[in-house]
Amino acid sequence: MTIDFILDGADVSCRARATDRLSDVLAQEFPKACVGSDCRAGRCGRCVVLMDGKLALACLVPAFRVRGAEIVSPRAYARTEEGESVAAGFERAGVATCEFCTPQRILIAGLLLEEAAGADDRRILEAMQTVQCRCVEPSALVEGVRAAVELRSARKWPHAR
Amino acid sequence: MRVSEIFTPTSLIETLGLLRKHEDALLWAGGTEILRLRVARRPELPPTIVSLDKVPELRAIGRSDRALDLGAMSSLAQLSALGEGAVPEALAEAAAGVGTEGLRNLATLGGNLLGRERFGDLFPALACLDAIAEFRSASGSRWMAVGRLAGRDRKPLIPTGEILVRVRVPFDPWDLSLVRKIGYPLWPAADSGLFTCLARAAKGSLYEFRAALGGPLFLRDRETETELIGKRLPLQRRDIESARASWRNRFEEDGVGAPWIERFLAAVDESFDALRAGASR
Repeated sequence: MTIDFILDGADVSCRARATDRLSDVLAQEFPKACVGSDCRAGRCGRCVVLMDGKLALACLVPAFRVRGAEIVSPRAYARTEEGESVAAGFERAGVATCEFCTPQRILIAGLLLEEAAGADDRRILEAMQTVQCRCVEPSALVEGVRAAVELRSARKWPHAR
Repeated sequence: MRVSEIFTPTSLIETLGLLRKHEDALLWAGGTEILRLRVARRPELPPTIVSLDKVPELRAIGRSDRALDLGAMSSLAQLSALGEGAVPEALAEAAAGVGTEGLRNLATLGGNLLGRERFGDLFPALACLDAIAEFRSASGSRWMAVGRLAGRDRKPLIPTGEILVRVRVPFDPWDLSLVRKIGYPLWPAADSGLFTCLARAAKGSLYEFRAALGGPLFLRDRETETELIGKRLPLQRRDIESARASWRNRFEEDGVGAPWIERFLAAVDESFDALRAGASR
């Protein structure tokens, strides 16, 4: 079947089996999005994307559910102003995530920063669990998100760069 | 490889028509459990799939003074986001503990409740809360207690030819609402499950007590619960020992393995401790 959807702000179209996983479709048809498809069981979090504004594990989304949806890849998000501000927060807090999980962590942190009530430590840790990577201590990720919040609230980003 | 035919109905009537025409169709709610259990690059699936995500009747959430009505396609993230007081504590806690956020945004109440391989984490919570489920078929609508979705063999009993439309959860006040994950917390495994205990006291006695564990099997015994009701609080050691022996006997009679009985009794002990702590305040 033909799948039409929005990927990183652009209208895209591809042929896929209806029950193919979104993670496989992205990995095969749109390699620039750099979405992994490792465990195919919703565990590793390497395939996490934003689907219609919400975090979703792309390996658990069949292609037929993607028609008309808006997908944002972590790699593309990390290049936005919001993503860069999160990266700056991580850097300021000394959070050195690995190549495997950095874009995904930035995406999740970016979502947390947009939550109206503001995320507490428990909420940050819970959201970060979506990506199963042990390159940094969970407490460091909390510090990273907190630093990003401070940067944004102090309007130190992007003008004071 | 066979290619599945996908139907995407936009109303409940259309869905029921499709079910009548394609009796063996796979109803696709969130689909997370279906894909999680089939890790092949191209998962083998039935020839006909009916996707339920565009059926508005299955997404409705409403509440009255007495109960909360949750459409079967409500996501687990929605349940946990309804907020304190808007959803019974045990249900909110059970929903918030399923997998990770990226999964909870996709997984649904209906999918969790009607797992074919094992009981989802919402099952013991909803059974203890006395939730009822509405099923629709071409011949009409029927309500049944969620607890009846467990068979005599303590395994899932999934109705066929019907569709789960909504679940009604009563609002009852509970003095104890205890939810405990058993085994690895993030993903279902052979030795994982969820325990729920609800209790209410009145005039210094136990007025209501419910305890259930869901996983590969569903462990609950209403007779033992009934034996506890009316006992003075804090519970005496002999009352606790008698209840433990009763649960053990009944589960052993049904062929439940020793590890599951021990997991259940350990969680019940924690519930009794919490009750004692509450009674002493």
